[in-house]
Amino acid sequence: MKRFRQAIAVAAVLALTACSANNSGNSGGSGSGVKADGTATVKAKELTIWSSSADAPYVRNAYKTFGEKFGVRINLVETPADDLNYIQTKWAGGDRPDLLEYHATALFWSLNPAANMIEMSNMPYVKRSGVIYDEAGSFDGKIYAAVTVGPGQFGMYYNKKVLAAAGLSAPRTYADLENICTTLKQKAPGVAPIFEAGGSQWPTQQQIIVYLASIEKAQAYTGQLLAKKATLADPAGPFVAALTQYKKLQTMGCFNKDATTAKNESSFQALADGKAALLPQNTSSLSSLKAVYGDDIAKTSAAIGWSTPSVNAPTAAWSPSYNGTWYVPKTGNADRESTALAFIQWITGDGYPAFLKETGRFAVLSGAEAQMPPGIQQEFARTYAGDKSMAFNANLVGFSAQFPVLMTGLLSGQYTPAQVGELAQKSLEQGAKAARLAGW
Amino acid sequence: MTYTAGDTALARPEEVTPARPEKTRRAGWWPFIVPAAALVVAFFTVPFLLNLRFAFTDWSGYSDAIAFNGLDNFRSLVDQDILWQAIKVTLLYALLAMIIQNVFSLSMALALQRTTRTNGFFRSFFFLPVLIAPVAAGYIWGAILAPNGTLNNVISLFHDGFDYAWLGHGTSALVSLAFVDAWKWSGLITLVYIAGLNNIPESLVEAAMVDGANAWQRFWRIRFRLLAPAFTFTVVVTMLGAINAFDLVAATTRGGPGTSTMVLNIAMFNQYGGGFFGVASSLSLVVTVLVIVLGLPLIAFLRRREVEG
Repeated sequence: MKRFRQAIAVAAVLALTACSANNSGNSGGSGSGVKADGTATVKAKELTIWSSSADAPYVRNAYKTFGEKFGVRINLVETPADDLNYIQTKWAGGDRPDLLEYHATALFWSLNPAANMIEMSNMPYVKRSGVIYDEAGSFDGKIYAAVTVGPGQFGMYYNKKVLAAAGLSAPRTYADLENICTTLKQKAPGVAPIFEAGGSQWPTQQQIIVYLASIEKAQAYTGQLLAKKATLADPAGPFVAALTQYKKLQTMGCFNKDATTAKNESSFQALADGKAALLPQNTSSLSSLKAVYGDDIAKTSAAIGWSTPSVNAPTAAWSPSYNGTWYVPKTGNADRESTALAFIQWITGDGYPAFLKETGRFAVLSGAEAQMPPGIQQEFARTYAGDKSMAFNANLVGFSAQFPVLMTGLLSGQYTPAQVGELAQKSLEQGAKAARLAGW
Repeated sequence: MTYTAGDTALARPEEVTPARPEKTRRAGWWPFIVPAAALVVAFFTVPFLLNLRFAFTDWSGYSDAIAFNGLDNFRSLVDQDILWQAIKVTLLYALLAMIIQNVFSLSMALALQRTTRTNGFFRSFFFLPVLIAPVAAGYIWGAILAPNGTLNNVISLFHDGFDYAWLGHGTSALVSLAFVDAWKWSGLITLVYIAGLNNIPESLVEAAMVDGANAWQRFWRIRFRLLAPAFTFTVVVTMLGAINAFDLVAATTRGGPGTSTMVLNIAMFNQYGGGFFGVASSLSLVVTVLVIVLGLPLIAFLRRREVEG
């Protein structure tokens, strides 16, 4: 009996050390019935906003301006930019802000928008937004997001001086990339042709997104995958081909020596210093690049160029901006919900021209003219005006949870392209089933 | 232990008080159990039972509906090469961390056993990493182990241009993390061993010397045997602590490259971030089961060794 008691006590202590998941129920929001049709008014004196810690200054200025103009105190809660768990944890515990800045890709589906967010399909800004909500910010045909900032694009920054010194020009296809790599290894052996930041995991996705952009445009690859007409595991399919090309570039020695451990933060300095010739990135990272040049856009533009190479032809892979994409969660507090909707009306209405000017991006809402600053941002505009497609992974629900992990496995030699294809398909299946997509 | 009338034989007759009735004595224990029991129920039993239930459901952020789905979560984890890989990595990491930590700590304890001013300084010095937050320790070691980091710079003094990516290859990343874990906690385990060593009667060691035992024999046949209670504690704490590893790994490799250092808690973190709460609960359950399944036999074995040794 004594032994039994001891065993129970030990088991309890051991299990206490192991017990780690706090599975509090997701209470969801009830909603107050406030109409989301453009008639909301400012009724609350305070608004709690969850907003990215990596917000561009124009986002914070928008909060400040709204607060001052309408006498609303803004209670800002910063959410880590690259940590999905932070919001998931709070959300699953029933915590809700009045206004949420978040992804407009399939990532927001995991917040169960139908139950937890106010549908904004009838808000006036939707009619001025073109077709953006066909692919972003919506779920099951209903619009939940207010996308106010021009989309970002995946492509590659390049160091103009490094390429020019080797007699090279900006890449347009992956054949160009191979040529740049081979030439630089001969003429500038100290320069890494392509900088890869495997230590931060997520940047490794970008080369695959870039590669597949022209295929996405030509054959709507994402649609085929979601409709189960194609599979990521297909050894002869575009996805495995992209992974194979990535591995080929690595084997050719086109990546920096520390590709598996390098951090994203160090990539911009490496490009500016000429230690790397090309940097796969998203245009949203311009502020990080500019910071290396003392926030001087003229200096940045003089040294760095932008191109959108893809497998066959230059194609920009666009994705909706996280900065300036807002949702109105159901909190059950009519005054606060009304005030949050009023913010959306203001930022997409009266406040939009000044906001647009400050963003320095293209207009996503009609009725306002964008004034593009000179330099590299005009290159962004030019590539966006050319061939483009939505980043292939944007709406592959569940896929992004494992994809960066698999990519670093490919980079380190743990997985082959075919294995990554098979495992990626499994993670897509997991997400599609969880989201209860038809046919999965 | 139960006292009998015989236990009071040395007391003076007038001091002998009649033993309380058995029932009264039995009834008196429970108030002392209440605080501990309440804590265990609140922070273990309830979450554990809830977790047990959710581990077999399709609970996710995508829907309010939660339905029983049998073993689907575990099947999905196996299909995605997550479950067995994470268990394998966790066990390897725990074993490595336990061995490295105990070898380091015991060596340091033997070197610093005597209480002198110099030893006191070094005990404090080696204890400092214990006070550093694991996340901060992770970032510090991430920089030290980088290809152009401090470690390679030192090695480059003897081997020009050495730039090995310690955290960029599966095996070296796992071993490096185990060493970092040992660095982080060895100061604490050293103190436990020093306390254990100081409890060993010096007369036994002196007697062995008189009998002609050399230094190794004195350590292995006397000190190490009598350290058994401390050994039980340190082995169990380091091993089970490593099974629960998270913050150090998250701050250095995030489980990478690939899944080479993806311990169970990192895999759980990734699933949770994707909104797959049921699957994350399944992984949490695996951690709990692993701790119990490994911990109980390990403790039983080491306790038996204490008696037999």
